Amino acid sequence: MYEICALFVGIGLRMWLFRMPRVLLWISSRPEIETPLTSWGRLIEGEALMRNSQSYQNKHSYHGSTLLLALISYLNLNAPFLVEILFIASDVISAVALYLFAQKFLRKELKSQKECKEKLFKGVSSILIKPEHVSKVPTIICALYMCNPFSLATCISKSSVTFNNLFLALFLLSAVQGSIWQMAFYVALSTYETLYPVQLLLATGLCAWKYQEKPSTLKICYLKSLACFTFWMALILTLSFLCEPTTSSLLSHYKFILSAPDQTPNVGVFWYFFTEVFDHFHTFFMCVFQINVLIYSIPMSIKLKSHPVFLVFMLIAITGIFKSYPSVGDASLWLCLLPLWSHTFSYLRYPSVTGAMLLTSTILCPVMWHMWINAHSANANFYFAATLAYTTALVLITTDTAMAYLNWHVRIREGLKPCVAGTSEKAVLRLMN
Amino acid sequence: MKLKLLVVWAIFIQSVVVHCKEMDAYHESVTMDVINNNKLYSFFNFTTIWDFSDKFAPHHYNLFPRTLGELILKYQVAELHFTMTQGLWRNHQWGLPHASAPTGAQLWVWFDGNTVDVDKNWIGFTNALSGLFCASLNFINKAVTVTPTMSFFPTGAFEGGYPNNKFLRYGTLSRENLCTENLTPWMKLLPCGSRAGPASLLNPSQLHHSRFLSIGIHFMTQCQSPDCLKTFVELQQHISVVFDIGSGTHQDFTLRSLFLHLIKPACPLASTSVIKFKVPSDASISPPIKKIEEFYLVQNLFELTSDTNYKVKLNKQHLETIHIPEGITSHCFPTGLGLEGGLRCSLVNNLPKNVTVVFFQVVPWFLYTQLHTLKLETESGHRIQPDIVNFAPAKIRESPHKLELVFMLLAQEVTVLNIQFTRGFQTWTEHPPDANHGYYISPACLTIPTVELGNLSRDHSSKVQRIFSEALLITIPVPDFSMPYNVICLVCTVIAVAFGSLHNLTTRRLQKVSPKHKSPLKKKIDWLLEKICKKALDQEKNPSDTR
Repeated sequence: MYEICALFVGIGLRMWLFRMPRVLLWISSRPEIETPLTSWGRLIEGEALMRNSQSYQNKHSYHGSTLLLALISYLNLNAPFLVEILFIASDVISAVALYLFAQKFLRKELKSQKECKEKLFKGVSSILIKPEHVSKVPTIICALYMCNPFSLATCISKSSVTFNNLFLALFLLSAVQGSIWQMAFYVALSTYETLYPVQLLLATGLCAWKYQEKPSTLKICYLKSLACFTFWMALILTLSFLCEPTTSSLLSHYKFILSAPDQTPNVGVFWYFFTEVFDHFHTFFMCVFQINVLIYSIPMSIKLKSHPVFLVFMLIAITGIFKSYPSVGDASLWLCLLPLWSHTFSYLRYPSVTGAMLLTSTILCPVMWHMWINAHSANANFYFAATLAYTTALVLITTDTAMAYLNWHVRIREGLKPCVAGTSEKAVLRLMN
Repeated sequence: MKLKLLVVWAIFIQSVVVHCKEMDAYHESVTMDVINNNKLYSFFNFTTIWDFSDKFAPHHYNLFPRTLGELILKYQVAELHFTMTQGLWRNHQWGLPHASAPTGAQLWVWFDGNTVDVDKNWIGFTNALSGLFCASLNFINKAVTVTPTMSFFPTGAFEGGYPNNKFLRYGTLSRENLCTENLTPWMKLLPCGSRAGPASLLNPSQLHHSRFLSIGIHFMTQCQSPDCLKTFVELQQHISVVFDIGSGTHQDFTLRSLFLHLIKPACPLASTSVIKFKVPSDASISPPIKKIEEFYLVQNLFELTSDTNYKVKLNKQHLETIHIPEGITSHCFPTGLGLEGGLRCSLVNNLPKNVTVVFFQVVPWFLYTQLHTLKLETESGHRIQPDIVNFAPAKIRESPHKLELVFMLLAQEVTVLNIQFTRGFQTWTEHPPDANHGYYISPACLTIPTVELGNLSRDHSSKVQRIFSEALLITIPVPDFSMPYNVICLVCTVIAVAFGSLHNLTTRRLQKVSPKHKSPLKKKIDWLLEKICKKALDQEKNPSDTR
C-alpha cells in the first residue's frame, strides 16, 4: 500500500518538476548530474547533426550509444510528449523492479536462515533477519528510489543514466529469480550503454548457481551466462549496426569511455587528474584508472561466492564511483539498496561520519561550482575538493558496508560477544591472514 | 681566332638562354585614399607576373623571390593567400578595402591537384612559412585547420578539378601580432626591397602608428586567355595602412609627416610604378599631379627625378564627414556567462536589394558549439531559413567546429545569427602561457559576390568580396597550474583507500583474536621503540661512557 503511495508521489514530483523550465535549465547545467557521455543536450545535438548532414560521419559531439539516439530521435519526430513519459516510466519500472527484487531476496534469505538455524549461535536472534524486514524494507527501497533527490535530478535532466539504472534494477530482479537469459540480456544492455557492467557477468554465474531451481555446477552456469551474454550482445550490436552502418560510431562510443578525452568536471576522479597529470604519464594512468574500475570483480567474486547479491551491490557501487564519467545518478541506485543490509547496520564503524560527509559534499558541490565558474572568487581546487570528498564518502560507505556485512556473518555463527578460543576472554574480530 | 669563336659561342648561348627565359614583369603602385577627411588609406600593391608556358617550375629566378618560389615548389602549392593584420577594418566608416583581411594571421592554401598527402604538405608549408616570415604560423596545426566548402574558392586557375575542396586548407591565428620583424622579411621579397619606388615609404616603426596595418602575400596562376591554354603566375604583395591625418584645424598632411620617408623614384626593374591620390575635388596636392584616371590623380614614378614629399592640403571647411554609402557590414559579439556561451553576429544590409551571402565561422574545438541552437532571424523577428547549412562538429583535439551557411540578407535589414556553445576544459599543458588572457574565436567571414556591391567595391578584379568581423575573446575556466603533483597524490590516495580496504576484505578473513593480540609488525615496532628508549636512558644515566 505504502509503496503505491510512494510511486505516485514520485510520479507526481517528476511531472511537476518537468513543468518548471527554470529548474530544468539549472539542472541541465549541473556537472554532477550531466556528463558529456549521458547528457540530454548532447543527445539533441547528435540528433540535429544527424538530420543536418544525413551522414553518420559527423556526429562527433554526441558520445552516447546509437540505439538510444535512434530511439529518442524517432520519438522526438513522431511523439515528443512521449519522451518525458519514457523517462518517468523508466524510473517507475526501476522502482517496482527494486521492490520485487528486495521482497524476493529477503524472503529467500529468511528461508535460508530458517533452514540453517542449527549452525547459528544461540542468542543472536536480535541481529537476524526478521519478517518485518521482509515487509518493510522493500517499501523503503521503493520509496527511497522514487523520492531521493539524486534519482529525481537524474530523471528531470533526461540523462541516459536513468536507463542504465533501469537495466541494473531489472538485472537484480532477474538475478534473484535465477534466470540466466534475462540476466545476460540486462547485462548486455548495460554494457552496450556504458562498458563497465561487463564485470557483472561474474556475478551472473554465481546468482544463477545460487538461485536456480534446477541445481547445476558453477562451471556450467558460467558457460551458459557467457554464451547468453555473447548472443544478446551480438544481437544488440547488429541492431545498432543496422541503425547506423558504420563501425566508427560504436568504436568512438567505447573509445570515449575508455580514453576519457573530455576533461569537463564531474563527480568522479578522472577529470582533474587528467587535467593536471604530466603528459608522458597520461597513457599509463589512464590504463591504471580503467583497470581500477574492473579489477575488483575477480577477487570479490571469489570472496563473496555464496553472497552473489551482495557481490552485485559491491560491483555496482565500485563502478558507480570509479567510472570515467560518473554522476549522482550512478550512486543513487546502490545508495537506495543500502536498507537491504539494515540488519548489519549495528556493525557499521562510522555511519554518521560518512553520512555527514556525503551530505556536506553534495551540498558543497554546487556552491563551489558557482564560486568557481560564475563568481570567479574560487578556483578549480575548491570544486575538486568537494568532488573528492564526495568520492571518499561513497568509498567509505561501500567499504564500511562490506565490513559490516562480513562482520555480521561471523557474529551469527560465533555469537554476539565471541570469546577467544579456549578461554572466556572477550575477543575482538580483526581481519587476519 | 679561338677566342673569337669562344666569344661568339658565349653570345649565342646567352641569346638562346635569354630567348628561352620566361618573361617576367614587376608592377608596383601605391594608392592614397582620403577617407572622410580624417583618414588616409594607403594601399601598396607589388605584383610580379611570370609568363610560364606550362607548369610553374623555374630553374632560374629573376624578379620572383627565390625563397618563396622554392617553398611553393617543394610543397606543391597551387595558390597561396597569407595575410597578417593588426587592427580592425571598419567597413561602415571606411568602405570596402582593396584587399580584405581578418585580425591576426590568416593562411589559406590550395594545393596542387596531384598532391599525395595534403595534410603533410600543409604542416610542412606552415612551418616553412613561419620561418620565412618570423611569425608563429607553426601553431596552425590540425586543431586549428579546416577545409571550407563554399567560402574560399581559388581566385586563379586551378587544376585539381572544380573545386575539389580536399586540396584546400584554411587556418587562422587571431592571437598573432604583426611586428616589425614580420615586415622585414616581407620587404626582402620585393625586387628592389625598400630602396626605390613606393616601397621606400615603408618605415616599419612608423607603420605601426596606424589605425590598421595589414600585409599580404597572394600567389596564384592566372589564365592568359579564356580557354586557359596558356597561364602565368602572379605574386601579389599588399600592404594596407590607415593613418589618422591632421587634427584640429589642420587637415593637411605630407608623406613625410605620415611615413617619415619621402617617396623615391621608381624601381628600375619595374615595368610600371605609380602613385595615385584620391582626394576631394577642392583639395590640392603639391608638387601638382596633372594626369587623372578614373577619379585618381596618377603620377608615374619613372618621371620623378628625386625624392619627393607630396603635400596634400584639404579644405578646412569640409570638416563634416563625407558620407560613404554603406554596403554590408558585419559585427560579432560573444554572449552568455558562466559555462554557457554564445556567438551573435549582426549583419547589416544597407543595399536596396536582397543579397545572398556565404557565412563562414570557425570555433575552437573546446567551445562545444551546438547546431540545434542556431537561430537566423531579422531584428524584427522574422525567421530566415538558410539555403545551405554546413556544420562540421569538432573532433576533440583534432579539428575545430566549422559552420558555413548560405542565406539571403534582406534589403535594408539587420539579420542576426545566434549560436550557443558550452565552454569546455583543457589540460594544463594545452593552455598558452597567459591562460587568463583567453582564447580567440577567429573572425567570421562573409563572402559576397562583387557584382552585388557594384561601385562600393574598391577591388574590381576579384569575383568575391570578403567582409571579416571582429575576433572574439573568450575566457574558459582554467585549472590551478601549481597543482599537478598535489592532484596526483590526492586522487591516488582516495583510490588507495578504496583499494586497501577492498584488498583487506578480500584477502583476509575475520578471525577472533584477543584484544591484547599484536600483529607481528606491531610487535617489531614496539621492540624497536623499546630498544631506542633503553639506549637513550642508558646514555642519560652514564654520560661518562661517551667521553
